[in-house]
Amino acid sequence: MHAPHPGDNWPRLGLGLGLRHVHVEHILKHWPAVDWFEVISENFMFSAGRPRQVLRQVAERYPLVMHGVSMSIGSSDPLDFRYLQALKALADEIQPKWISDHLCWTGIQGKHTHDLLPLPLTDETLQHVAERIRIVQAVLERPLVLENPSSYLSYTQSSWTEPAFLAELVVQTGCRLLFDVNNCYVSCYNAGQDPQDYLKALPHEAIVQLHLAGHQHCGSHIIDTHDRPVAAAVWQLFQQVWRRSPAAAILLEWDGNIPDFDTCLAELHKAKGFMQGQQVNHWAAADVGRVDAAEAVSTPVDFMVAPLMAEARQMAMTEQERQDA
Amino acid sequence: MRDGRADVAPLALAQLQQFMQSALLQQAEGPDHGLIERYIAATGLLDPAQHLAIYQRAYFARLLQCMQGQFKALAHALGSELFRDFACEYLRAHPSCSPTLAHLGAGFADYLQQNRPDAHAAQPEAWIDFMVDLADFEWTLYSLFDAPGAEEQGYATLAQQDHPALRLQPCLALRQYRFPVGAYYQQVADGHDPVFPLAQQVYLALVRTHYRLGIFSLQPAQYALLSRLAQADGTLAQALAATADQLGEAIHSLAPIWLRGWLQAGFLVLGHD
Ligand SMILES: [Fe+2]
Repeated sequence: MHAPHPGDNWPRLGLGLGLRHVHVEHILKHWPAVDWFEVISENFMFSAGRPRQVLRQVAERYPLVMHGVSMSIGSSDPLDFRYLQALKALADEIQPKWISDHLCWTGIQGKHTHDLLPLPLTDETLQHVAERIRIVQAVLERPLVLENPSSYLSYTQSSWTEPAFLAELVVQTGCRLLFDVNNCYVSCYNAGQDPQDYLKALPHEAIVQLHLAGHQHCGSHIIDTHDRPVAAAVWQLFQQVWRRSPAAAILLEWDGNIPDFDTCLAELHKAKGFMQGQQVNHWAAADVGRVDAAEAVSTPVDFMVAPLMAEARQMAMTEQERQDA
Repeated sequence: MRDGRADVAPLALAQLQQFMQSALLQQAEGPDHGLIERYIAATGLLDPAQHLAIYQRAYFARLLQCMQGQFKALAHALGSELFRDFACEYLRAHPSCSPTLAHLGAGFADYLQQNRPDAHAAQPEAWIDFMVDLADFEWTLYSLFDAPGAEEQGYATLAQQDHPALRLQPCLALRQYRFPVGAYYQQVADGHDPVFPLAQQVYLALVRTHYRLGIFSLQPAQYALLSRLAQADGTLAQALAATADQLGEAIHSLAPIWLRGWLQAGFLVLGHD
């Protein structure tokens, strides 16, 4: 059961940013020069309000990619077809270049943890996930793009490495990969593995997009916080991956303590230098030797909650009330 | 789809996910140590329970941040510790069942009402009424943000004030509260630290027009008339007739004045009939 794949004409999108509530006003006012935006699908799928109206305007000006966090492709629950239909409806409306989600599960028994939980990488899981990717691709009528999550544990059952597992899914289903460079670094550190071994098994030719983000080093483990600049070690890994996947679209995720739009853009554009071979200067990097005692929130999601408070106002209905006020 | 049962999960996967999810949601007591060691690998830096604990800590911290975003005024009123206690109890009792975080706080006001700390006290405590009302107020506003509205269809105009098809627009909620929660909310939004308000019955219309949310104070009679219009799919004239007994004959002279205000504020649309 293979979905009709639109061939291998994956567009080269260049350098993009995640579309965030706090930047919307700036974007609608200035239409800043950024190659493309990635949008969190769930922020818009279920909205009939301003988010969807804003998205339609942004879609007129920039290429978009839809990035989801709730598909739960590895769950032992049945696939949620209402979710998939809503995803497809949004895609029909805004015509994204592709649709991505994560190699993970997010909940069972109808519940959602809103976390990207790791899967046991076994033969059985592989068949289960592959079958579901085929179904999803048939509904969405396009290949799914799958991202490696950041993980903080590995299971005793796992018999596959993550990159080999991803490579096999690509072979079996024709899906493509969103390789999150930071997640690779974080997961490898937390599992006591070498990112270089990960890269060796990674099917670079299947990568259509790269993610970059900041993390928090806690000494005994690293947390994927998306709340600060990209670490030097991650830039270095990025430089390596880029050489082998030079058509991949690049995206910076900044989801916690989100600075102004131009600061995000400046961080993203650091990638340009590294793409041209500029050396990553470890000793000048802000993160060197920094170990935080207090753990920040991993994969923060509160940026998805609309900052509504500044928006709702007490209003006067009549002229009399206006004068009284 | 092999044998039509492609989406049936392997048993081992289902069991592992059952273990992980209950470890996160902590509905029962924490997971058995033997199970943790069976499922999760140790590394040079952390033992299996420490690896799991990273997920357990993050689960509540992450959703708590979202609840704080959805109930900013309530979080302000309660202070961060008390808000965290209530929110975590709520999340434990009602884990999210929606793929979107936009529904996370949907049952919070009801939960607070049903689990009032003064349930066994002789007298209900005023601050708890205030807390329940403020939670309902914030959630109602929050829901209107994403709800279907009349932006595309357009709002009824003053020229249509006698039109028999005038109806309330879909993105409008009528609420009555025991405290002036709208004023409290506004003060928090403006960066103030308002004092706990005195009890006062208030009637509000929460409305989204042109993608902007507005909080309108209503008089009791206005609230009664609008509620009637919201309930039945009848005309404004029918709503007036139905409420005239209760509101008195003066309603007939007041209603046209009110109606102009409501039309200007975007409360009304033209229905289909
Ligand atoms: Fe990512």
